[in-house]
Amino acid sequence: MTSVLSLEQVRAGDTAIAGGKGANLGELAAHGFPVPPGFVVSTQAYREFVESLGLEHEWRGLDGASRDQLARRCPGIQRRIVETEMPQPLAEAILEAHSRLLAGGDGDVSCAVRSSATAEDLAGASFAGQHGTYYYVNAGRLLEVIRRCWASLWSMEAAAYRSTRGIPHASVFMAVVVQEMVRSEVSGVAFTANPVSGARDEILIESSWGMGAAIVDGRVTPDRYILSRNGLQVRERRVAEKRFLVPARVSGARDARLERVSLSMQTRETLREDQVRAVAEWSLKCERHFGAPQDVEWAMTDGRFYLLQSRPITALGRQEIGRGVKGKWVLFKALAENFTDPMTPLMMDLAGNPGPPGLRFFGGRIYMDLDLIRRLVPFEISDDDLASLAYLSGRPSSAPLRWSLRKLPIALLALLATHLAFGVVMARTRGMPNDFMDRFRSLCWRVERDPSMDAVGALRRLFLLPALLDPIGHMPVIVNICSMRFAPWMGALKAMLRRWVPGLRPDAVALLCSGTAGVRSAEMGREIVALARQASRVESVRELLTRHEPEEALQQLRQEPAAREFLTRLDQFLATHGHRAIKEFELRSPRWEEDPAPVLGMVRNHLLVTAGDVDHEAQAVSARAQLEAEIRRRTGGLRWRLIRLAAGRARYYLRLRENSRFYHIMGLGAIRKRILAIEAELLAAGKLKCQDDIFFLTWTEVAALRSGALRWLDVEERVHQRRMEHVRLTKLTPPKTIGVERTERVTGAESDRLEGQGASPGRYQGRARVILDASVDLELHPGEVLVAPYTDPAWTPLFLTAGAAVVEVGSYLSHAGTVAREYGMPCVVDVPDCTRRIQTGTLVEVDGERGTVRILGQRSAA
Amino acid sequence: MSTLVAFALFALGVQLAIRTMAAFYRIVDLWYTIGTAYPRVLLGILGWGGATVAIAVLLPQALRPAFLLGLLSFVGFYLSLYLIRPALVRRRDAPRERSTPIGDPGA
Repeated sequence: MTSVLSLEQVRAGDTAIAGGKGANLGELAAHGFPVPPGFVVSTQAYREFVESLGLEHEWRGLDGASRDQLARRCPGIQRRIVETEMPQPLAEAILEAHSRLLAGGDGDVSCAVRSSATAEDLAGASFAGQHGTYYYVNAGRLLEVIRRCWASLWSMEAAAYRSTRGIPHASVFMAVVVQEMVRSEVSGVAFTANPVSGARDEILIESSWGMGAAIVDGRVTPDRYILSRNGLQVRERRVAEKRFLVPARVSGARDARLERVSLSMQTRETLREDQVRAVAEWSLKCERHFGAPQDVEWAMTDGRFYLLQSRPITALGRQEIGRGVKGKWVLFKALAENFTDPMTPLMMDLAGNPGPPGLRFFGGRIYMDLDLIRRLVPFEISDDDLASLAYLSGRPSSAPLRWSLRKLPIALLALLATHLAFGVVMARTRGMPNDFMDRFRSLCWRVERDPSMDAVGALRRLFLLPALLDPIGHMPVIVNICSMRFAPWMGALKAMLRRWVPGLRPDAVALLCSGTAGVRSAEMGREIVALARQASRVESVRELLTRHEPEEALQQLRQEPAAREFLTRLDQFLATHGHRAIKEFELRSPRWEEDPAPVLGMVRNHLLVTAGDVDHEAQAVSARAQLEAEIRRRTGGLRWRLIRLAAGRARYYLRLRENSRFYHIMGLGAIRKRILAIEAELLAAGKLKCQDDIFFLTWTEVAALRSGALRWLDVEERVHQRRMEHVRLTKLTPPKTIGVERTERVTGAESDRLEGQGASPGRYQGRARVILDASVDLELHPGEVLVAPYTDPAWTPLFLTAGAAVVEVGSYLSHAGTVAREYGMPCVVDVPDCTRRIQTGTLVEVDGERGTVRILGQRSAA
Repeated sequence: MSTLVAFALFALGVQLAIRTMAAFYRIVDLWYTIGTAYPRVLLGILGWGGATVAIAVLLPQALRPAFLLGLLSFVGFYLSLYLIRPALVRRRDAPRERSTPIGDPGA
């Protein structure tokens, strides 16, 4: 067997020699597909190399090893592979093939070096993101990079992945594909079946400027085209704001790997009509050749199309998350409902510092230990029902709860321990003025400006370790925990109303517990509307905001004298709410004070809608007043005072809970600033090449980069792998439970009725508007029903325009529920698949009391 | 019976310690608006502190130790939380501080 083969020598059946990727590319090249020239360093070369190191015995011993054992032993194997020189004949053969590759180019050729493992084709094992890929590789780095590709077969992740799928370690070998890097002007991915909706009659194409890594690594939101398979007509076209590109060439070790796209290009469409068709046609040719729907990576330069990769579309299996994990886990909904994306590695590392007891990360999402909860809950309850309770699904359990006398003492002890640990802070949070947590802002400022404080120190100071004499306003996390006292007050209110005033409207409790002033998120929505009204008063400001993209509009507003008042008001808004962001619980998300474009986007959307807002608030105020009058008339005296007390307390703690989130985010903003300061230092020193990559490192790695213990080359592959894994996980809906046998509940739901959890009372009929991304699609006409995958404060202004809201995740306490109640708007949360089952333009009826959504009619022209 | 009474007084001591400490904390919690909030702060301190002192004074000699023990135990427990918590955070953090080897993403 030869150690080095040209791509044309390889065929689809040569996986054992060239690995999955190499065999696939060889097959395409041999059949005339426009694949960039390249060669394959075969698995034979790898075998000879590792045999010379005597590693076979070592990896045979890894079969059946635990994760900890893998963590101890894999790095040693990797180190030996990376640090040992290749045998001279092999090195010469590789360098000769590389020279031949360069000879075919214009003398300025960089290579992409990709791992190609033999196990990539195994059923059910995608190995996505497990093995190394390197770009911009020149002759000087080639041999080391090939060794790193080999070593990536022995990363802890790859070994653990094989272990959990029962693939013997010694059965997998690694080839390496070396290819010329195409100087892509535009590149992207194409799917010959829609991987989001599952529609086989649709082709999905995503494209962006520069190299495809920008899309694959999730660095940009690409343009998106959905075409019909028959006739290749474009059914849907979304031109995104593409702020960055990965350039096709870099020079010098310190050059950044990410470039800013000029303003004029950011919103320009990347593909012409004929180019969209060309991509679709080549993708369909790949599908015909391989006989199955394909996921194609492509590039275009000088009008020529290149095929970089074609592989079958793998079904994204959420069952992969948590596979092989012991124990029973349930998704931590309080966090999951704020944003559905997985956390970045840095966020996970910091959030798990120290690892909170009973919480663990799987697939970037946080899960609670169901066994631990079971020990503390004094009920005899099935796993399924306990998972439903822990997930705050609000759905009735399959059987009535039965007290367990055996478990009661433990539950009482836990209650006592909580009372002792939190008794003082609980008393301190009682009856505080609404602005008492504003002091947290000054603490954040101090932390941001303290050069001795790193991200971990900031996290501890702001969230974990308050000082003995800190005011309670400095402890938003503790305030948040204490605010859970709304639940017993609400329970008491419910019981009193049921007993003393039966027959009230079904949403009486929710109505009495809403309508407090001072809920920060609700105020923010009103301030956005005020900004829009301010903008609409000055024609030039209105024009700039409605005709230009937010970033460009802001630049022009700064030069427009008539915009001064608007900008002052915008600055005031940012001074209060600038720490907020889209997906704000993630440290990676830029804050509005860094980039106010999303705020201007929200203002623009209010300017674009012509009719007035739906005045739910006034209706709710009137309904609440009527309800209170009725209760007072029917009870009077002490009973009325007790009802009023319970409602007042529940309202107070609910407001405290929502507002404490405002300050959590402020603290996260301060930590982000510390991280950005370190990132700037690492970028300036050439230790990092791209902005935003720091969020794909662990804190230990960041510290090692700062100290020089690690170099860019050591982390480049990890960043790339983790980015790809993050993109992959982002596409997965996380399972609600891991390790729990769940039985499908018979809900009686019909095909036209969706069931969820009522989060804000009221009933409303209107046309649906499905919005998947608050940063991209923000067009909601007054009175339309907002249908969203999740909501956070960036969605709040839409609530003022919407007639009702239906949200895929969430609970009574979620942001959507709290804000909807404040605005008096019907809202149903936790409606699985609502963004898929309801289409924009469909007539729906939202019942916030029963937690149901009924589809009344088909789509209209929306 | 006397054990039960002693236990109840111990629990009362703990509870009053919680409320009295919270009342004193109101000084720092409301310091930013103390100009207007001072009557409420004083009322809390005098109310809870006064009740604690009054009970301690009025209790018969034989029952007083149980109440005072509850009071002091909680103060000791509360202060110890501020010593234990940083140590606990550092101890749980220790494995993360290990150096990350080549290729191990440190997950």
